[in-house]
Amino acid sequence: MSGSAALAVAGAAAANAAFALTLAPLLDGVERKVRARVQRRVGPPVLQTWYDLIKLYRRGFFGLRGCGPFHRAAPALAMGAAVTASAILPTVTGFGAGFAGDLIVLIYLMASVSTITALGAASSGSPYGVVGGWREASLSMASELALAAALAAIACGRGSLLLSSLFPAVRLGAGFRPSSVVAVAAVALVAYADGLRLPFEIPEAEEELAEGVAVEYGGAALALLKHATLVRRLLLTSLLLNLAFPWGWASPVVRAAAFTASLTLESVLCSLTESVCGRGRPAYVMRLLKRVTLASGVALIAACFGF
Amino acid sequence: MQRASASDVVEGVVREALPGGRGGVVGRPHEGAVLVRVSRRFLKEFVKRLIKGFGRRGATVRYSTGVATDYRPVDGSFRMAHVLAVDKLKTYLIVEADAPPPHPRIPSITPELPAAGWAEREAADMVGVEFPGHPSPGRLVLPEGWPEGVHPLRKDFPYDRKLGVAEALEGGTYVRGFSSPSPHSPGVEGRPTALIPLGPYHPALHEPEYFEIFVDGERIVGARYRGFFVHRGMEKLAESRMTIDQVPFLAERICGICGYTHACAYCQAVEAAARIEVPERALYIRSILLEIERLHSHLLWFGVAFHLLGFETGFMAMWRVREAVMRVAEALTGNRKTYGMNLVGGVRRDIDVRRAAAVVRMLDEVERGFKEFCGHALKLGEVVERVRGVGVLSREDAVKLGAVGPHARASGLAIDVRVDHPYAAYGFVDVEVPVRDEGDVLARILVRYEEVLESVRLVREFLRGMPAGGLRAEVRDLPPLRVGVGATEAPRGEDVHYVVTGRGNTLYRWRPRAPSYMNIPTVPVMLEGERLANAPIIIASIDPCFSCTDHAVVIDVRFGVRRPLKALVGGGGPLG
Repeated sequence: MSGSAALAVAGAAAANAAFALTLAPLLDGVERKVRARVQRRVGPPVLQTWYDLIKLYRRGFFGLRGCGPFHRAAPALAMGAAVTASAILPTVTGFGAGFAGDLIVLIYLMASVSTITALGAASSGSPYGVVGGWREASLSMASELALAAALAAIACGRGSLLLSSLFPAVRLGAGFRPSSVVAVAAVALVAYADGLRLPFEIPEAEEELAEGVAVEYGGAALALLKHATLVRRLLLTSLLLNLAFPWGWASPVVRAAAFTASLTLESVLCSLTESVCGRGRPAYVMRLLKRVTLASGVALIAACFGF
Repeated sequence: MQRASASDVVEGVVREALPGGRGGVVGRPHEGAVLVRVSRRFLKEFVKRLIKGFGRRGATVRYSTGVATDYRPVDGSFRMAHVLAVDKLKTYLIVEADAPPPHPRIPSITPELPAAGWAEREAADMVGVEFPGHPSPGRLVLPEGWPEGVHPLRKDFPYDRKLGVAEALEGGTYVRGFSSPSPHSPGVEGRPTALIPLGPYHPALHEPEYFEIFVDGERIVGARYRGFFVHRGMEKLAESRMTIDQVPFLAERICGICGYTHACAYCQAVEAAARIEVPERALYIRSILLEIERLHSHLLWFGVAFHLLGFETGFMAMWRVREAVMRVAEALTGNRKTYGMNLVGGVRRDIDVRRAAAVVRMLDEVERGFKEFCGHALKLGEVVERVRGVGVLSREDAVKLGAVGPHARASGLAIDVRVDHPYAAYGFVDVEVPVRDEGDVLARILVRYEEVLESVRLVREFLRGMPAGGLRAEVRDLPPLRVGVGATEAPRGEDVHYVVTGRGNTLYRWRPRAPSYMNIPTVPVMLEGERLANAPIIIASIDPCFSCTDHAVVIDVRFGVRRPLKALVGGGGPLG
């Protein structure tokens, strides 16, 4: 790889990361507005999530004495994983960091965000945190498995572990494989569930666990944790958009605009769905996710046999 | 009259149960009540025979409230009055027993009637009567740092007495009788369990309470409750420095949601004790306001329940419907809450034709909005599945623990004060009482759903049938030392007020007993074996009112379970 090409890739990765970090809280603001409209409220300004994060970031790190070192490091680690993942996955620019095996690294990083959050909460010693961490861990194990199986099914059809070779997942004509349709559907469900949307929003569960995984955090640490979770949600949706639709036709500017619009639309749809949902029982949520995992497992086997 | 004959039957059973005709005086303090005074030595045996005697006639004895009174200035003794409800015979049976100072001891009847457990412990705290034979004695209401032998509701305890600063308790952090500070206690069956504290401030109901929940993973293996953290000293205040016409305004401040029902029950108790005939129009107005209060309370509860299930859209929709009810309350009373309407002998404001018409219009809006939204919400599989089969309270446990209100009716007990002990204008109409047998949270939701629609119907019927007439009976000097029991069906269940009149239109004794007082002890039973995720909705499903339950103590003491206990602030400290 020549120097200028490497620079372009680094630039694209940086742009992707900056895009994810900036847009994720904005999308959350849009969702809050949509939910408020459904409930016939005016709702907070679209920038509210950003205002909240800025307020928390300004407060700095404090009050984590007496907790284990991992508890203290977890928010920063989670954010690190989320930012790295956003550099790998093409979002606004259409290029990721692109290297052999980046698919595996992406899955690994996405899983890390929730694993780190869960471990950080569990090591806080707070009973609410422990239960929240336990829920986060089971939820992410169930959904990451489904995600990995679905991506593997698509990768199997392409015969490559290069992320960019997977997009778009469904190709018409000679390259059409029914298994990849199932896989994309599974990714869509995982993106919803693992994005911690109702009824899957069980690790924080304000009314049950008083914020669960986040209960012992405050200030910048809480902001990092929340921000990382939002970035991860955006990445899950971006992955789905990359898999579901072809983006190669568009010029960079059109792509950036269309991609942002699609993310926003997806956010609106998700928050509309959330408006008619309550929080699920953990057992019920797991049962749903098991079915998704089963479907993507079947897709993987089918893909191995060339379907 | 059927009612008189029912009380005759009660009196007959009481006479049969009196041991050998000894040690018992039977009387009728007022309509719908029978009073019997027995020697404390026979009390336990008497209660046992009562239960059997009523059982033979197919009636159940339900423990309603227990009141200890310091009668030393009158006749030199302490007296415990157990108020038993014989719902089938439409009668409250007051069983009294005396105990001489200085160490009053009355055998506990909790082994016979488990629902008496809290009332006896409270009497021990507040008046200092001991109850030998109580299965789980110990402080209930007074804080752990309160000095031994000081009983605030004794007549020689001045209401403004200040106690010195109490010593912090050993270890300083945990409520006595509760677990060690370690989050991992040995737990049940020798398996280690984690302790999840829910409180001292409820995360969603925003009231002080403390549930200790022992979990194994997400499964609850045990739960304990400690309440009475907010001490307002209302009884002492009313008995020490208020007149009978001031107390309705204090009584309605027991609760921010069902305040009117407390004012009503209080007025009914005084009216019964002094045999005051309330004008019929006033009775109708009271009934209308009581039903409006039920609508307000139930809609608020539906909102909170949806909120706890994470279903925010439902929460907002229910509170929007509730807003219309508050406008109705404002049109009728001048307050968005049904406050400031009651006096002993009647009500303070009339409902004119124009207002009545406005209320009917607003009620249509309420009914439409409620049916439309709640009807749909209860068809959402997700919401229904979340509550079906959760937090089951069996009929047997409901009877044993004395559950009341919609909570009892969801466990198959057809009890409702409006029907069993008709008061206000409920004797003039037919009240539909929804009952379900499942005993789970869903049943409680569905019972309340039916009750909302029934309340709307009742308000319409009362407005149509309201006769012309005066608003208030003339109240002259009340005869002293008369006993009265007033009961209403509050939104959460039976609300009982017990009064003894004093000289110069004051109160010698007043004890309100809110419905949550009976329903909270059922919660630990329902929690056992459940998933932790279900705990908040199970606790909320009884529509608990911790402030109603906690109205009773003298000094405002704030202590958390994790902070060292600074029980009593001396000198210029805050007094309730």
